[in-house]
Amino acid sequence: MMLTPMERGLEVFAVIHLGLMGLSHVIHHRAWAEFFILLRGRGYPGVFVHGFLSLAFGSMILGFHDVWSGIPAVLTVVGVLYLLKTLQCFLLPAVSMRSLNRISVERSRVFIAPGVVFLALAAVVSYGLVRGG
Amino acid sequence: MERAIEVFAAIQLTVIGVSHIFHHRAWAEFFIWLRGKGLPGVFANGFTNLAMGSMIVGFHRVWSGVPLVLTVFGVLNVVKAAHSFLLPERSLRLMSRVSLERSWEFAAAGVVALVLAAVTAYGVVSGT
Repeated sequence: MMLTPMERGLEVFAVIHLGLMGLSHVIHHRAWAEFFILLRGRGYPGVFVHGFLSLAFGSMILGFHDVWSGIPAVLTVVGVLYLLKTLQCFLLPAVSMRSLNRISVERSRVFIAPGVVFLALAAVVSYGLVRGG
Repeated sequence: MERAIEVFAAIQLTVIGVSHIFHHRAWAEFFIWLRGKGLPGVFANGFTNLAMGSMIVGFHRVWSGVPLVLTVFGVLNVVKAAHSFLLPERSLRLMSRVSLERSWEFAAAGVVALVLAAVTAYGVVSGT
């Protein structure tokens, strides 16, 4: 399917984000645990900071990438999931806080799994970009 | 689309540039505060570069004329973000160079940001 220049631009934007975040989560999982523990230490304001990060990424995708078929639909679904995560942060901060409470430096390896998922998503979106010409 | 990103970047560069010049000491304090947070502080700094760089590289892939300057700036921001997220210890060492005594360095960076804003704005106005 043919994407508009705007949709292709958004996919490049997403590949940069997902690729860097994925690699960083895999290589520096301990530092990411420290990052979220720092946010947790701020209480609900820390949850809101986390929410803003998800809101920026999710709203960019949904605003500029309204594609619901083929490989590009994967990225659109990612955008919807990010928006749901954002809603949880801003509307149910206690639930998000419970997730943050589970994080510890000793179990920082749990960040490797989402890192691998980010990298897989970056690969799928890149494949769609290359195949789209 | 490219023009929209150029306007977006000119606004960001102008506001940040002027702030760096007039409030260089506050910017030094900001980075010293981030440094005090260790690697999470490096990640927070990386997010600012990632936001700007990925917007430019995603939506402004123009490789000729005056707009090329902004594209290169975007690539450099992505490289800086990659440095923060993939080599955070090195980024932390770089941040350790920041001091209140040498806060004037932020004013110099502010001048560079304003020059970039001016070049980008010129490209928008002249239609090149």
